Amino acid sequence: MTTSTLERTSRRPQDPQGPPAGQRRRTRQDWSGYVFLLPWFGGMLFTVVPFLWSLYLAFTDYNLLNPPEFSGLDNIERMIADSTLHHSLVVTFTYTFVSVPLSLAAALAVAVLLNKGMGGLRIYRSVFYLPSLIGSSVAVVMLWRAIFGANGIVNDVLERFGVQTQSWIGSPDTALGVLISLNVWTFGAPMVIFLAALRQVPAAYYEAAALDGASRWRQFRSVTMPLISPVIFFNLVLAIIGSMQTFTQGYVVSNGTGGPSDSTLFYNLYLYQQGFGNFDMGYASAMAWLLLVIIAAFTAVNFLAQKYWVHYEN
Amino acid sequence: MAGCSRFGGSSPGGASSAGGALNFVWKGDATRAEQMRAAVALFAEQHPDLDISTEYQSGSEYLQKLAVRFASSSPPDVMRMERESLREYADRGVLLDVSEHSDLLNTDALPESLLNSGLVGGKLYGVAGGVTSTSIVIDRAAFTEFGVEPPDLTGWNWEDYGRVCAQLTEASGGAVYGGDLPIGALQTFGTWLRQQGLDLWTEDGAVGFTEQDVLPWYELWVEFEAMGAIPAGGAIDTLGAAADQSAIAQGLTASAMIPSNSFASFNTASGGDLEMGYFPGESTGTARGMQLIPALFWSISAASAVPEDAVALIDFLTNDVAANEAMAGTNGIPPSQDVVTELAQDLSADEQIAYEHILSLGELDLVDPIPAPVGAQDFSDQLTTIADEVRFARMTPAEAASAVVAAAQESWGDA
Repeated sequence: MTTSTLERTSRRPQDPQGPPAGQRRRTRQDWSGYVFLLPWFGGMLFTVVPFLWSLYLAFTDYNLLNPPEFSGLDNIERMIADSTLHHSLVVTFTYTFVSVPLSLAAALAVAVLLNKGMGGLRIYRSVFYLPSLIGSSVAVVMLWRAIFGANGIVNDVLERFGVQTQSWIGSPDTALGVLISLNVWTFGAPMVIFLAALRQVPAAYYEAAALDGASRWRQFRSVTMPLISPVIFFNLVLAIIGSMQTFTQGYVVSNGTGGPSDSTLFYNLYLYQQGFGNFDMGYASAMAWLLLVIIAAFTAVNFLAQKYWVHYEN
Repeated sequence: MAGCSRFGGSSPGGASSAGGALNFVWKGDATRAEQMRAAVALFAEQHPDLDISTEYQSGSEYLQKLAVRFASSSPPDVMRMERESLREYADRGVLLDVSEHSDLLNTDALPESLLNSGLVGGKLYGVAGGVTSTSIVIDRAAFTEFGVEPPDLTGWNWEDYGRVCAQLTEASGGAVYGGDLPIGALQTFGTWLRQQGLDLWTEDGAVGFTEQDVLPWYELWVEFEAMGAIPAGGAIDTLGAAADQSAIAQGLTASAMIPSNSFASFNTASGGDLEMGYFPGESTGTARGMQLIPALFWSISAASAVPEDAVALIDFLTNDVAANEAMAGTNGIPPSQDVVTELAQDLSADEQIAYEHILSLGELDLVDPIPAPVGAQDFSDQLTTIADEVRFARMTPAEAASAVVAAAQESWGDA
């Protein structure tokens, strides 16, 4: 952040007295800005130092007990050969690619319904938002364990209909599905943002579309979707980043093991096991940086793709 | 990386507490903390000039906390050390060889095999703080209720186990399963291996079994499931390690594997009709599979500024009758035979059963535990996963056998 950037973005008309006075005034303004930023710089130290330290650790063998030993690209070679790591990526991607679209669709659908301006909107809005407040907390995951466990509510109901059941969270075929449904259920945050976006769409557009004989569905597709596409994009990017970092759900449902059969072994849970279970902090740091690269790649693709579908009204 | 040296490992001398201060940490819950603190208070009375601070942490977080303490160059002076981590820490040179201060530590009343379990490379890095074993319990009430003849828990073999369990499952109409063992646990798998005359790992850190050796283990459990002796994978949720969360306490199975020193809590949780005995195959196999294992070790940091006081504390916890009375068996059976004899008179009935059971094991010709190699924890995770795969029929016994050997090779075999 230099003065030249400030100059470029500054919209104040040029001072007729000539640049020097204006320069001086701007410098003084810059100075006060930096003073206000001081606490942020202080706080940054606590982020930047560990950040750089973990980058260094990624290239070391560090067991927490002895000083880190530089090991070059060993950790990266290990990651390439580590089949459990590959499996944890598959689990994480599956979770992301299934639950993000579903939860955004649910959030948008409910937002559209709530936008109809029904009575008691506030109450509904709060009720739908509630699960998200406590979404990835330990308490909720425990609740889902109780619902989907071997003797849970779901099985009680199924058994009344004579269906032979097994534990939904205890079986490797269904455990991840249970966590995906838990994630879809916590669609409150994107829903509230969608609701705000829907409120921004001018009613006149709908009236014009209706005059042209557009159906409800057509209005939604041709008016609503393009106008709220920036918000869809925003929610999409955040949801992908968030679900790639999933940890709590897998940890709680499997008692930290990622079981049964590693079916809930999220990438971050495996990273945690390596770092704090096997004291392999160098490897865990390398894994953390790989996750950063993966998330950055997804985000970059998202930003590149937006020009094909995101519509900015200027 | 200038300026980052403070994140490095522990430098000897750089982690010392101020003169006359001793920090003691252990793993456990609030109940144990009360018992431990009572014992430490007795020690403090004898050492008024020593400033003793204690901390505790339950569950797997304890190990993480301990590692972080070492990583931040502020290790505790005296600590509880898990069986699986002793070699890991000792190999990295951060623990004190207690035998350097043998004049301060009286180990005369400790069984030799128990004392030796704390040796790594001939040096004493951990002093066993209690004795336990893993045993089988059956719920007699269930056998009576469904009219099934209970097995002889000292002379049964694996075939008997399958037969009796299947009988019980059938008699209860599938409401209660005869049994279920955690076949992916080091204890279960290791016990069976030793019954075949093998072991998980050898003294020199090699893998102690081949694919051919372990194939029958997985075949056995597939067969048991087909017979209905054990539940299908996922039919029962294991909610946690606590006694009241166990399947036997919930009335879902009629037998279980438990740590012997937890007999009292399991018996209370299961209605008071448990009988404790040996593993199937224990007296019919090639060798004894069960082991008397140290429930925990007391270890001292190599960087401790008060090594002598630290050794004195361990000596006190080991040999003082009042201290062991205060600890009330929370760390298993006291390691000192003298203390056991002294305390055995005033135990509750359940504690008496656990005591006698563990002492009876001591009279058998058992195989001594070999300290776990570095990487045992990693192997343990994989063993559990492979067991799940078999129980959910996603892996054949043959595939599991080759996977488990590969996992062992990867974890410590080639180290």
